[in-house]
Amino acid sequence: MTDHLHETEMAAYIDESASDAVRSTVAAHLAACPMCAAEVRRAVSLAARLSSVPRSIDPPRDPWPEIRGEIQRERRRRAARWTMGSALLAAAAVLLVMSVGRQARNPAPIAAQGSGALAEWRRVEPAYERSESEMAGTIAQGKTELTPTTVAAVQKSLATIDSAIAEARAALDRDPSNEALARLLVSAHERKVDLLARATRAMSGT
Amino acid sequence: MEELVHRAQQGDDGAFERLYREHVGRVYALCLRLTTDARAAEELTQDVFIRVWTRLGSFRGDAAFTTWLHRLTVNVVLHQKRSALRRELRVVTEDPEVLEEMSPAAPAERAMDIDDAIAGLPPGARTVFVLHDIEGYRHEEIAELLGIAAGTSKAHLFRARRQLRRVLEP
Amino acid sequence: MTSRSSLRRASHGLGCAVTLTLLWSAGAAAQQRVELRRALVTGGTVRVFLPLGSVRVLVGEDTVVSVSAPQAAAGKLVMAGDARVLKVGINREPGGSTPTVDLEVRVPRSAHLGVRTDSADIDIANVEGGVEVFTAGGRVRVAASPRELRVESLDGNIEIESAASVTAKSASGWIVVRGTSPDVELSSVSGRVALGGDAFARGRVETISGEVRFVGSFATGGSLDIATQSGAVTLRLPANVSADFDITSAHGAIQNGLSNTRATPQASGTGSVLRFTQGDGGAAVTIHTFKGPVTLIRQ
Repeated sequence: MTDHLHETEMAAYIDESASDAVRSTVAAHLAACPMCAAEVRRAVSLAARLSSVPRSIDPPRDPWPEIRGEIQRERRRRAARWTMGSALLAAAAVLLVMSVGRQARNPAPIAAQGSGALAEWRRVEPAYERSESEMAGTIAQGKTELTPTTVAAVQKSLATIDSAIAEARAALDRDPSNEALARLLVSAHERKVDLLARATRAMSGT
Repeated sequence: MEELVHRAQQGDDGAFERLYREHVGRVYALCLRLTTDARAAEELTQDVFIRVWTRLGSFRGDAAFTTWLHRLTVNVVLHQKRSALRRELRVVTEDPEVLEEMSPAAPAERAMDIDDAIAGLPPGARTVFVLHDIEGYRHEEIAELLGIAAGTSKAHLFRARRQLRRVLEP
Repeated sequence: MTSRSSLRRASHGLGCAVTLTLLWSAGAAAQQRVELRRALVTGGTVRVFLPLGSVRVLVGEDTVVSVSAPQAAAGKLVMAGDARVLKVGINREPGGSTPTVDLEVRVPRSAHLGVRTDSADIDIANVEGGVEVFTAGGRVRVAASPRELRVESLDGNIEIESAASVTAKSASGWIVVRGTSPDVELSSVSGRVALGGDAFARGRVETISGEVRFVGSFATGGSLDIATQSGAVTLRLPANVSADFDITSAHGAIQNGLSNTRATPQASGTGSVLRFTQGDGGAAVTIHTFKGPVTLIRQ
């Protein structure tokens, strides 16, 4: 043992985790060393005060309203996302996919998610088709300020998405209850709508 | 408790609110002791419960809910501190000496509330002290949470205890 | 050393002085630049528009917005609006005669910033009020932690270093996000997406064929959600990561280098699924892919 007790020795002595041999050595030192004895008294006092420290403190203001508000907002965000997704799935039967330079085609219908979802799709479908035909028109008329590289990149991206949509739809037809596939199909549709809207905006310079 | 958690996982808002009421005091106390800032502690308490709601589905019941909640709380607070620290300071160190220099000066010695004394500890020592002596984490767990060595955790704890003894029992 | 001569001209409709400054730099090949300056209120908005070239946005004085351009573009440089909303930049010209200009814009730290380009590259640093970027083919670099950060490109690449919530979208451009953001939402079509961090909090990534790469670890209660049609997904994680994993793939391979748990066929018979908990769990990693391979690698 060094001149004074080390923290570990003190801690072990106080919480009685030290071996008998160590305890008697420490006790002997304490009898001879007023400084360490005082330190041990302080440590015991601290431990006692700690044990009565409140483990629970009420916040000055109850934050539950904010928490509930955020939860409700998150719920609405998730519900809107899934409703839109279901609507897109349900309306695939009536979806006209018109990509640049290709004929419109009616894809095979997939399981509808319910009349509510279909109504939701009917509501958003016009905006979707407007974006598509605007973009088709803009490119056809050559009224775009974008570089040929960018225009080509957009067309290639659209082709990639269309291919993914076709793949996912075919797989979902074979396995209609597969949630993960449904999620992928929704995601692909969302990417397409998003890309069309952004490309239209970029091309027309608004 | 398990029943309440299960119902909350199923989307029962009343059950989730009851879980909140049962644990908000503990969560707030922990946030307050780690940050020493009542306003920050309130905001962090909100963050914790929003995160609990978002991630309740992934709680599998392997450990006790309170344990899971605690780890989540500690992580939310430490993540906040890390972001703030990274922005404000370009020095990353686990040396207790350096951390002590960066902390506000310890309050003058007087008969004081133990929570005041804890708040006066340097940040590194305070975090370890709160986690070890109040929340009951082991040094190995603290080391992993804070990204420091277990030996450094012990050094912080001893420093904290020494300072608290001097301040509380001068 | 710079010397300046300045020209002051009162503006009728707007009632504030516009300072047109000619700047000379000593130095053999230095280009002459012009500078416009206007006052901006705290928290005011600056909208920068530039079709071609490059724009750098930096934090300058607290109440002033300044824009500088090469002297050759002086006649086309626009600065309009009022002290709450300023519009700065170069307009498109018809018939392919839009000039290529390198702009430098200095804004107050608290400004809300919007930048729009066709293929001009964009560099933004330290702005804190808000940042929104729309570009088609410009390369975007943002090193800032504003209250909101949103970047959209088509084939421009995006590089972000931020502690703010981030939303970034591209089509074929790649996206890299670094920093300590509390919430990251990234999407691309074929562009590669790379993200990560030591205590990653929350993120959602969606691509069609773009690769997704994550390097780092999670905060407890953290979450990472990845959906891709055919992009390869790679997660590099430490052995002591704490997370629940939920990975499904219709036709892609799922490889687990973190534990001995192996992917099993899905109940429906199509594809495979890998669900397991590493460590205490608490963070949630969800990956859905159609035919992209998923690989979990131990760092």
